[in-house]
This record gives sequence, structure tokens and C-alpha cells, in this order.
Amino acid sequence: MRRPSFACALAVPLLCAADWPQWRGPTADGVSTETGFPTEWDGKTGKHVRWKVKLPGAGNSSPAIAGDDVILTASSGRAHGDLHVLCYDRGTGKEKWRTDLTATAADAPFSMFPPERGHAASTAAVTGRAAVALFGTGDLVCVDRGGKPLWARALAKEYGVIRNDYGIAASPVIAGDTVLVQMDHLEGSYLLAVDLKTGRNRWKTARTFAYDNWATPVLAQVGGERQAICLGTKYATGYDLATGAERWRVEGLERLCSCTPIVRGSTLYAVSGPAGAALAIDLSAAEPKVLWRSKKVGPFVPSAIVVGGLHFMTDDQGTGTCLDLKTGAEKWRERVGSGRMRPSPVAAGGLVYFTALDGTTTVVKATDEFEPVAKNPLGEDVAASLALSGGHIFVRGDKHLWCLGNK
Amino acid sequence: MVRTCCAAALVWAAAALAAPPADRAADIAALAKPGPDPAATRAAWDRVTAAGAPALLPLLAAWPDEDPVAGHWLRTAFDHIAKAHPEKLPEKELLAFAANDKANGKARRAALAALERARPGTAARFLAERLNDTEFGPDAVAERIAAADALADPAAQAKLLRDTFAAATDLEQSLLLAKRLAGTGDAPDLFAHLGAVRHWRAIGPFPVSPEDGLAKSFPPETKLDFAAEYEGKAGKLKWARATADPADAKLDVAKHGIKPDDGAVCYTAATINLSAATKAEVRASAVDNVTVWVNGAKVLERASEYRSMFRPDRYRAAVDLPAGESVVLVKLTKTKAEEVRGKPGAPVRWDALVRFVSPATGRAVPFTQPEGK
Repeated sequence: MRRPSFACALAVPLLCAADWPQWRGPTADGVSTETGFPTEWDGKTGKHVRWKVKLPGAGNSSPAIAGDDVILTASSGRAHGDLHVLCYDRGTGKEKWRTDLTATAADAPFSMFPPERGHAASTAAVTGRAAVALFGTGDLVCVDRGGKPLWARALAKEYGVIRNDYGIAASPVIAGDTVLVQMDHLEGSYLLAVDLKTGRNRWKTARTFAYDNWATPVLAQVGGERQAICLGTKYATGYDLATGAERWRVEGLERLCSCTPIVRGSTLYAVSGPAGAALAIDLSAAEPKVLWRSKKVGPFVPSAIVVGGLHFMTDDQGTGTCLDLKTGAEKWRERVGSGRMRPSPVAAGGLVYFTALDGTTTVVKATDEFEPVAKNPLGEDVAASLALSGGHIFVRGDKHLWCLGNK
Repeated sequence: MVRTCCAAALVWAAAALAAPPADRAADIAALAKPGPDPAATRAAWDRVTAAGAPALLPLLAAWPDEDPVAGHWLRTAFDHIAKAHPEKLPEKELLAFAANDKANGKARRAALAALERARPGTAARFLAERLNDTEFGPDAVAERIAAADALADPAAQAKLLRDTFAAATDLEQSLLLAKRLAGTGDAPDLFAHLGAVRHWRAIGPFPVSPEDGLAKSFPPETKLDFAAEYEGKAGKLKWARATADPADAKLDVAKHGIKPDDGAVCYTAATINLSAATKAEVRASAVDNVTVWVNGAKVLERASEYRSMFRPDRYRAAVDLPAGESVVLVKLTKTKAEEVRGKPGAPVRWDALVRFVSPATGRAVPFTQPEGK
């Protein structure tokens, strides 16, 4: 499957091939082109566990990997008032630096949301020189690769308190020299573009029809124009990356959009839930059209994944589905996890890794017939998605950051 | 006398440490009020952090109340120095700063965190004495709840919970403590503790769609007449007494026969009586939309076509409560989205909670509710 060259160029500043520098990796789709990742591990026995380190706070942001650094975010303390940007050595797990920040006051107490995850649900975006972190309090910060501040914004102070009944989870996206932030909440949603170097606004576009959503924007070429595409409150919406002007809106999603869509060539694959249909949307023309709509397969929190000509997803209860990418026809429907599913699947080497909240990862072949390969317990809850880099799998557990690898 | 002299010496020492040279003062001021060029702010940050430990207390002293971005610059500079020079931390001065409840609360927390890093256990000892502290009180309450959980003696546990409940200001902590106390046989008065309104009159639902309910006003907004009757979907609407739940201080109007299926709008009203005029903060929580009037003046409103879940103390506004009686009127408006959420078969809830607290301390404003009003 040919990857969209534009998305690669814009989404990720040039880092090395083994980096996983943002939410869902270098191509923003959860797929690694590398091979050699472990297919079996056991967190309790230590099988294929290279290292694990205790984390200083809560969160379900995923690790971002750049060079020797593993960067992630967390929050801790009373009402999760302390925010953390953390950097660990990828080889040893040793903490390299830690930047602590004081949170802008949040809307509602977070102890109401078990398991407690605080304000660090958005994955950091990392370039060769900087890391951009967004917290659910609206604190948007950019630090250099040594953890020293470059700029900071307090979006709740500037644009009003952020009221999302489950907090903010969309991750910042770096598009060239611009940082995109989708801030969907109950009272005043917007898509914001700021200068990566200074943090100043390039544009801010209101999303008046959108309420609480958690999907991260993706980048695509639509009808010849560079655009950011957002999912939220029943719609996929395209925005001119240069100006923020809304270009199109396609209906067909559910009310709550947690899942980051996938761009393959000139097609957008979008899922939403609970119990929503998967959509394939043709982006080749300026007015995108729905190519196909699946029956209601039901992904809600975990995003879907595309490998070759197949579209894989799981509902929140662990029922996985494989669809034909061209038609949306169902190829198989099987259990890929027990209990709640929160992390989004990742894929590499012809395998798809589905992880459940209980920390068990089910590895299946990325084929149109269901073929499980392994079931791997971690022994710790996992709400964050796995990161694949350099033959190692990085897992942010409830209490620890893990590095798994054959070597 | 000795203690007074020591304290004076400490304050003098802190003041001396807090008085930076002019250039450093300008740099710290640049962090406390970041300008439009972050590169210039970063340059000031580099110079301040290079100055080392002498900059620590001035950085804390410069922390403004209402600028989170300044807080980020100051916090990172403070932490950078404190981590680089743990042996040079002015521990007594930092502890005095953390204990000063007139200083910026977030700066106080940064001071305590630095001390805890250098001397683990400092925070626990410090919090043991800060139960009534406006900044650290909830932390101290959390520590005491954990300590109570570890006690084997039920009587000792109940006493600790009782004392802790008396000091708690946070709504969720108060609810948790009240629940634990109820389990020990106590009957804590949540209403008095929270400043929550207990006795209401309620009327509704007015037969209107969610969309129309947001924009439309009904007679209670212009005249409160508890004898009046209005047309409802299932007959005449009349004001009826409604009491909030003593377990959580919420008023669920659905439990009082006001069903959202018959209309999207209802009203609740209450009279509270204060012995003295008070500046207060009204804190309201409700499912979906809520509007609150106090003595005829609209003080807060959440009005959206989109649903909102019940979140404690979500909506807040400053109010001046006079001595004597005040009338509180609340409009609750359901949204359309509510119709499709919730577990199938679960009873519909239409909750609201309104309370009055001191804006300075978060503690309940004392009031009574006259009989028959």
C-alpha cells in the first residue's frame, strides 16, 4: 500500500526512520514499516521485558520516541494540578529530564472518572528540536529536547474554561512549522493552529457544531489543497491548513468521535461510536464523498487501523472486526480482548496488536482470515496505545513505562 | 520571645534572599509577565537559572495569581535551579514561604515540592499542620482519610473522620467523608457543611421542547407565586415541596414527579435566611442546563442545546447576600441529547445541587431555611 507522501512530509519533521514521534506514529496511523518487534512477552515473568520504570503520575497519553528519547506526559497531585513532560533514555529507561508545570484550574473534579487518568491524555508531538505537549487543562507547552521551555499557552485562560465531561484527549499535530490543536468541548469548540517556533496563533477556527470529541486531526491532500481533517459530533470536516477556513463537511459519524481517522492515498477511513458505522470518504475532489459505509461495527474509544487492503477495529468490549478496505464488507469478527478496550491497535510485520485495558495484548495476523498469534499479559492496566520503534515496543501502563523487545 | 525573634530573623532573611540585583529582578519580572517574544522570555529564563539558588525565593515571590503562562516560566525556572542545586536550597525560608497562606498558592506548592524532593517526608509533616489551610487543606484532608483507612480501632477511625469532615471544604471529599461517617453510625449534616440548599419548592415540567425551553421564559421568572397553577402536559402544574437528598445534597426533581418526558423545563425555588450580609459564591451543578437567580437577579446561566453531565460545583458566580431573607430561583432545562443517553431501563435523573460558600475560604455560608417558605 502506497503511503500518502504529503502526510509524511507535513506530519513529522525529519527525524530518523525508527522514530515514533507523535500520536499513532510517524504516519499517524499506528503502522510501523519496521520489523523485528516481539510477538510474545509476559510482564509478570519478565519475558522480553527490557526495562520498566515507575511513572510519577497518571495519564493515558502514549510514548513518543525520537532518537534516544522516550517522551510522554503525566499529571499528579491534588486535583492533578501538577503536569509533567517526561523524558527517558530509550536504551535504559533512565529519566533524562522532567519538566513540571502547574496546571490551569480545571473545570470539574476528575476523581469521578475511574480509572483515574488525570489531565494527560494527549500524546506529545516531538521534532528534532522540540516537544509539544497538550494537557486537558488547556495548557499547551513547547520545550526543547532538554526539557527547557520554549513557549507556553494557557488556552483555558485565553478562550474560556474547557468543559468536556471526560477531559481532552486529542493530541497536538505538527504540520511543518505549525502545531494543530483540536479542542472540542461542550461550550466553544475550536481548531487552533499556532506557530511551532513561537506559539503564536496562525489561525483559530470555531467548530460551533462540535461538542465533546477526542479524535486527533489528520493531514491530507484534498482536491489539491493541503488540509487538516477533524472528526467530531457526526461530521468529518476539512480545513484549509493555510487559513483554517472550513472547506467541507461530510455527515455520517456518531455523536461522540474518539477515533483518529486514517488517510490512505486519496481516501479517509473514519470510525466513531458507540456502535457506529465505518466510513470510507473519497478525498480526491474538493467536495469529498462517501465511498462506502459499513454496517455498525462499533469502535468507540480505540481508533481503527489499516494494513494492506484490510481495515481492522475493535469495539470497547473486545470484539474485533476486519473489513475489506475497498468495499467495507466484513471479513471476520472475533474476540481480540476481554474486558474494556481503550488503547488503539498498532501494526508491524504483518501483525496487528490489540491491547485491552487489563494490559493483555492479543497479536493477530493482518489477514482476511482470523489467525491469532499470541496473547501477552503485562500484569498492569494499559489505557495508552503502544509505540513501536527500533524493534522495541514501548507501553505506558497505569504505573510504569515498559520497553519490550526480543533483544 | 525567642520564637518571635527567630520568626523575625527568618522573615528578615527571607526578605534579604528575596531581594535580587536589579538585572535579575528585571529578568524575573519578564518571566512573571511574559512578553510577545518567547525567545526574549527564554533568554531571561536562561539568565535567571544561571544565577542559581539566590533566585529561588524571588521567583516564588513573583508568581502572579491569574497568569498560568507566567506560572509555567517561573515554575520551570524555580525547579531547574532547585534540582541543579539541592544542597543550596534555603530550606527554612522555603518552608516559611510554603506556610505563608497569603502567598500565591501555586508558588507555595512549588516550594513544598522542592523541599519534598530534597528531604522526603517533609510534605507529610507539613500537611499534618495544614488542615485549615486554604491551599493545602484538601491535601491534608486526603492524608487524613488515608490515615483513617489505616486505623484498626473503629472509634479512633470515626473520631479522625469526624474531625476531618469538619475541616473539609472540597465537595467530593466532603461527600466521601459523610458517606464514611454514615457507615460508622454518625449522621453528618451535609447541607450545613456544604452550604447547600435543602428545602425547595418545585414545579414542572412545563410542556415545551428542549429547543424551545432554552429560549422561552415562564411565569416563575417574572413572579414567584406559589399558589399559581399552570397548564402541563398531564394536567395542572402546581408548586410542591421538594427536599434534597441528605446523602448527597442533590435535588432530583424526577423523584418528585417532574418527568422530562412531559416537558423540558422545570423550576425550583428556595428561601434562605442569613444573620448578616455576606459576599458569597454560588456554586451550581445540574444535569444539562441551569440558570440561577438570587433575589431576582440572574447570576449564572448555562444554556446549550448540547447535553452536560452532572459535575460538582461546575458553575460558579459571585453574589452579595443581604442580611435576612434571600430567594433563590433555579431553572432546569433538559436537552434533546438526554433522550438517548444512559443505560436502558435506568431511572431518569434530573439532578441539581446549589450551595453558597465563602469565596475566600470555600467554607459554607451559614444560613437557615424558614419554616413554611
